[in-house]
Amino acid sequence: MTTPFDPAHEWQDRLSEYLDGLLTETETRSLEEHLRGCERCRSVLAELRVVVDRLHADPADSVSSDAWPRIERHLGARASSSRASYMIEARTLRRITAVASLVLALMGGIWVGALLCVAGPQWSPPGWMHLGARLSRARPSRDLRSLRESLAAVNRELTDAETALKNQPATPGLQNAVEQLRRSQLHLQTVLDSLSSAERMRDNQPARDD
Amino acid sequence: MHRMPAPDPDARDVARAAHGDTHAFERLYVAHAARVQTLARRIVGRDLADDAAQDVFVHAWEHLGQFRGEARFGTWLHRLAVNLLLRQAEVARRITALIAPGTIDELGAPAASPETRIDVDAALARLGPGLREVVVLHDLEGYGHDEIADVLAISVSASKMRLHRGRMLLREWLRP
Repeated sequence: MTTPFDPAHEWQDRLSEYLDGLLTETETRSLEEHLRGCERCRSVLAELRVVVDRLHADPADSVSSDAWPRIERHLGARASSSRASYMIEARTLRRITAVASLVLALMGGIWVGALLCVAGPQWSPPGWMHLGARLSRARPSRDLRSLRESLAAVNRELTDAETALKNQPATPGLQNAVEQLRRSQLHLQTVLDSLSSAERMRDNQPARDD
Repeated sequence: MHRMPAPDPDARDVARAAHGDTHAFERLYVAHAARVQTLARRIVGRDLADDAAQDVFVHAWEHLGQFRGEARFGTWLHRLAVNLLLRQAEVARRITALIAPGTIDELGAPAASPETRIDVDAALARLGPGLREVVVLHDLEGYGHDEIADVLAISVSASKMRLHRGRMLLREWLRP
């Protein structure tokens, strides 16, 4: 069991500086005097040493052999620096969007699973309950188009869910499901708006050569 | 007596690469790829590290003209990588927060059970923005607090405080 953090403890906030040798001689003497009488600070200090040792032991990564050819392909196109910078940013945004979409798809799957668990055995899930599976199939969302497809899927599921809620208002979890879908719709729409705006700015920017 | 600094071993290849010699740039890549790849994994996480490291080298190629030789090429490249990767990490955090806010905890980090034992990568990811960058730069990349303050545009005392807060959290998550 590690020692709980105690902000009121006089020297605890300086232990990292002590560990790194950043205290003055006077401060060091005072802290060491304190440590002699304070078991809690001695314990925290020992744990911090373990943390720093583990971080220092983090090994360097190896580089895959196919990395350079991929980089070299981009070097050949030597566009203007501003345009190239934009292309890097755009690639990054696409990758990040893809990762975020995976998170969303995973959440959808977990959420649908949870709803199926709470639903009674007599109840048959309507079509919109397959949201997780549909989003999972849309996983290769590597660009704006895929994100739009995900939004369209959420829109369709929301329509189905609202209809189901109207027809079967007593269905367990249905109200929460509709609210969850509305939130997902809003989040996706917000991201899409931001990315579309960035895309339009890129398209309106004249290309320049070195 | 002033000692002359050792010559930059990359100087010749940098000069050639700046004139468009991709073979010279490949030698620079071979010399520095592992460090950049490791830095990328530590800042943006394992999932995005390969592409992020690639971006760093493409970015460096496009900006070689800005390298003045005042520092070693490796130092310049590392600083450029840190700035680019920090920006990517921030974009990733914002988009994830927008799309799936429930997966982000109050530190801006992926939520995880406190009972879950995690490795260094996962622990760093949990630290979230602000703390993670300082811990990575100080304890993994060897930056001093003055350099961190410069890169992150924060004060030296803020850097010290964030490092200590980060280590205090890591000690909870990395306990044996």
